[in-house]
Amino acid sequence: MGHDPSVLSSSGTSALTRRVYIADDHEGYRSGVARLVAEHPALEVVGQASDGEQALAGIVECQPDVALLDVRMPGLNGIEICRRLQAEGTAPHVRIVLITGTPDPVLSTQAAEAGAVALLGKETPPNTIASQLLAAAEGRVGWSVE
Amino acid sequence: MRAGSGDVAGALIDAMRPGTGIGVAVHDEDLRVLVISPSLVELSGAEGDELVGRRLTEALPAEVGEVAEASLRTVAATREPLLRLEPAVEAGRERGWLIHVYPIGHEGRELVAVIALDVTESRRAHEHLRRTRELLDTAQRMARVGSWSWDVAGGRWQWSEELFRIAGLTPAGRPPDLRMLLPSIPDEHRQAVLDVTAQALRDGRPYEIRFPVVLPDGRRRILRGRGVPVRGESGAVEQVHGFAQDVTELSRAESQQRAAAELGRLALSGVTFDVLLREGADAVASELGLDLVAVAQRRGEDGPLMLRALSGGGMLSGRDEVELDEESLSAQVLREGGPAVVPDWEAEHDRPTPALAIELGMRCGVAVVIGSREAPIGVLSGHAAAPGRVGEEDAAFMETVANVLASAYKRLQSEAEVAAQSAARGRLVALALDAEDRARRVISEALHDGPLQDLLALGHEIARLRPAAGGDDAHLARVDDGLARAISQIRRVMLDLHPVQLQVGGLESALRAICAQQAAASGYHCVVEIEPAAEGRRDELVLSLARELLRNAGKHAGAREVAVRVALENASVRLEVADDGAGIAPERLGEALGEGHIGLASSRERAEAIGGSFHVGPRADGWPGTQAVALLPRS
Repeated sequence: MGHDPSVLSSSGTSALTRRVYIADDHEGYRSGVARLVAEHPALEVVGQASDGEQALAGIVECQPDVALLDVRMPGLNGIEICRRLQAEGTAPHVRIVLITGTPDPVLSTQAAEAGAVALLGKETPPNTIASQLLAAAEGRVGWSVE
Repeated sequence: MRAGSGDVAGALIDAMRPGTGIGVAVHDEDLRVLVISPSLVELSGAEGDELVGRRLTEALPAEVGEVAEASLRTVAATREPLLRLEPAVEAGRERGWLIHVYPIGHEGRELVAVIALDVTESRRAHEHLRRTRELLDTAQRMARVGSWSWDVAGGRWQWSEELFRIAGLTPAGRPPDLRMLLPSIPDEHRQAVLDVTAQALRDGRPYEIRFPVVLPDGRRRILRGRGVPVRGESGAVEQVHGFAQDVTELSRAESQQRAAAELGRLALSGVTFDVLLREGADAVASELGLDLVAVAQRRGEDGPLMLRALSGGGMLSGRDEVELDEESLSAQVLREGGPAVVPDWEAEHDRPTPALAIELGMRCGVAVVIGSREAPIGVLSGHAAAPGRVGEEDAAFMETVANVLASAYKRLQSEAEVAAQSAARGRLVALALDAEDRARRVISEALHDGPLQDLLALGHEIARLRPAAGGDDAHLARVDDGLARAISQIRRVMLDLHPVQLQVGGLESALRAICAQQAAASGYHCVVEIEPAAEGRRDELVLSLARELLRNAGKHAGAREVAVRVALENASVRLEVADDGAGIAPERLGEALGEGHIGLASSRERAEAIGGSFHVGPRADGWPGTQAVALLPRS
């Protein structure tokens, strides 16, 4: 993909810090993830959303390195956001990691087809989520379902 | 028994004993008995020699004696014989005699001889023959069958009396031959009669033919004829014997029966009642040769009587809607509740004359009620411009047609009621299903958005607290396990309540998830095939039915292999679930329902509620197991 995060980073933090956008309609879960991302030395949260429409606009606006999107949200769901970004080409360098409370193999296939780089279960341990986000941001993620 | 003779003649007379059937007596100039055979003595009822030398008036009962002696006196006076006298048969004496009285001369004397012949047997034979002929004639008349015989070589014909009557001729006349008969046969049938006759004369084989004739009085009748040729010694046909039957009524009855049956078939073919009324009117007009046949019905319970159908498919010219007045024949019949036949309105004095019938130039009419007297559906009426064209038998046929119409009306009414009830029931079921689906979805979403997310978030919080737990890994592990179990249980309940995957992953995702879940729970292997075009049509119902069937495959059938196929078939989504389990007997479905297992029945209800179908039975491929197929019209 030739993605260079140092070029795209617009914040004042280290060029090695990966910018993360988080969207989930469950406030508690979203804030928990946001906290662990914020505490990670190589990640920073550049935006959050609690529904699909807001998330789509925020990602286009923020152009993060990686977006962690809940599959099921009001408005657009995570897979639909992937499809829209792919179709509209408005965030070509943003890698999408989907997360779901109800994981299943078929869903992961559909997520891959929509352009996401990974589908995680929400019970995935926080550290693993953080490492997956980092790996995704750095283009090291093939496909995995946790 | 004799007197005054000892010669051969005397011996001959003596030989005429009772039972020989012949008797002789000779009377002198005073009409006294000279000689008498024993047979005549027995006939007179007298004893042996009592009669000799006596007159019959002295020997026989008064009236009989007078009559007998009067005959002798006449012959003695006229010297002319009196032949074939038949004395009255007395009560108790059954034998009949034929008496001849001759004047005879003997040795210069003028005597009178009596010869009596016993004709009892002959008379019986004649009587038998007469009775037989009468019976034959009666039978022929009843069956409307006439017999004939044709002496081909002599060109002579013999007809029975009934055949004369059938042909509209006087029995006393000479029977017509074939040539004379031909003009009464309509042109188009004449050649057939000639051909079949010629053929029979050539090949000598019996034949049968049905043809119409026009009688001298102009009536048209239909005859069925049969001829049996008889060959002579030369081998040529010399005689033909046969019969002819007037089958006009039979043919008419057959034709009317066919027409009524055809109307009955039409009634079952799904045509509307209006079409059936028109067809019924046409059938009556055609079969009875009427000029106008109408069906009338009341508008509402006590509303005006309206014309609903007319023969010929038309309405009265210039009128879209015709109301019949209360003096119409139809209204009269409706009031009376029974059939009415009016041969001629001009001669009818008991009924009011219907204005419309007269306006249309109708002279006679017949009408019957459609339906029962208590609950009439309408009236069927027929009319003709010529008087005398309707009779009781026409009313009988019209009642048959009316019965067909009434049955069809009731059946259509019942079907409409059933359809309305079924539609109402279908709507209720559909509403109930929708409500159930909504409730399931709401609960599932509530579980997903609330407890599940809370627990998942809690998992992260616990992970954050892990360093603070001071190495109490066992305790943490129990918390993790409890959390995981709670999450898993909520997910299972969610999946059972509503396929969350449908919203984000579509039918295939949800169906595979359900299959995987049931397969794991029941220990069978499950294969899923979904045609992409079948998705998005009836997803929720497909999932719901599949869930029920997959549960049954494990719980009741003990299946090891289960195959789920979803495809688009014509205008329907076809869901098929086949397993290799124990199978299900057809009667088991009913029993299961009776035992309160409403799963399958409920599945069928749900499919049928949207106009689809649902069948469970043995596998179509012949392998052991069960196959369920649901056809669901696409939404």
